[in-house]
Amino acid sequence: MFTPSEPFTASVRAGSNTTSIRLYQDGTLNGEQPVKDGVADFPFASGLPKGSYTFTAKGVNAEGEGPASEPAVLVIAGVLPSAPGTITFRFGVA
Amino acid sequence: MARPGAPGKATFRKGLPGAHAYFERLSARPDVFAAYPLRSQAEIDSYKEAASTSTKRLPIVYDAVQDAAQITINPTVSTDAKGRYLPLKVQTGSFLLTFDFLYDKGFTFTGDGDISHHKTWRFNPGPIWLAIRTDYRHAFNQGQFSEVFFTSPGAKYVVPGESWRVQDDPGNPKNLEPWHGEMIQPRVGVFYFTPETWTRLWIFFEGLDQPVGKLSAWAADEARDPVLLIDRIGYKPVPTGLVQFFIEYDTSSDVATKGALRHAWNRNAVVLKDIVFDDVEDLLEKPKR
Repeated sequence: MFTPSEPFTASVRAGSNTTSIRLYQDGTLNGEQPVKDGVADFPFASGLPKGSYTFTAKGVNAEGEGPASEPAVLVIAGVLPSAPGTITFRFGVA
Repeated sequence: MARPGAPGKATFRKGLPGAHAYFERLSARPDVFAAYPLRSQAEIDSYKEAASTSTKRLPIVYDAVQDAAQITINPTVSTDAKGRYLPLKVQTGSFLLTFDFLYDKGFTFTGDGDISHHKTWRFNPGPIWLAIRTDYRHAFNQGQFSEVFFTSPGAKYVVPGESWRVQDDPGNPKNLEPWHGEMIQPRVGVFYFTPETWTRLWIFFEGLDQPVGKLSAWAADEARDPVLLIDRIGYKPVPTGLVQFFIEYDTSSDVATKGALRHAWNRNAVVLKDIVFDDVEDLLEKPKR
């Protein structure tokens, strides 16, 4: 489970003939990273707020941009409150 | 050139690329056979611990500061560590094993009473197929901290005319230290590593299911690009295949009596299967802190 503001990395395995990858977050270009060992890494240092995000990726080479990948959905879940202390009782009027 | 093909779906993992990015990239490859980050006590405990008659050997534990498995030697009680076996059940084709290690200055050899060398890692089964030594005494005499090199404790795996051990060929380099007799030749590179610097090794073997295979090795550290140490020399595979990669740190014979605790760290071991030599050369990369 990913939580709000938690740093994470998105990784994309390149298709054939690819020098870099462009990552799109909900249809908007998030960034472009070079392919190393067949993979491009996209660091999200400050994570994302609670919500659901759809990522697609496209390969790039000298001829231009290729077709989009299958979409990948990332859900950032809220953090439940921690357990409260033990219950205590007192007598008298509040 | 055509436009690129569609990439795969994005995948997500906690944390940022950095010291472990190389490991993560290799671990994500389709040809990964095994990946051992050695970055939690639970993971370390999941690997078989070496049986030892000595109760004085200290165990390998997770160290959060270096984010790695920590090997501790207390020379006043034992020069050896209580090793761990990483499963490595490969029997055919080729394999590449890479991992990172770090030493503190405690291992520096200064004279009698210090640890002179370790049989530090080795491939099993049974009679040792291939071992990797770290040498502190000879390195000290060369003005260095430690050398890493490969040995064949049993002579049966070298291939006459293609590979040999120092002790079996008087016409080639003389024994530099008694334990150098098992050093595998020919070498095309020598690698002295330095303390407090992450160092990376690659061991590549082709032809596990052939009568004679090819052994190659490289090393690099945070400051130095990969250096080829052994260049596709003939070496016989184990007929039954490999079973384990042993984090050993065992001198077998050394007697050290002085000094404080020595520490070393290992992490991010990855095994790729059925990769070819040219592809290995393309993925060599020095470690990052």
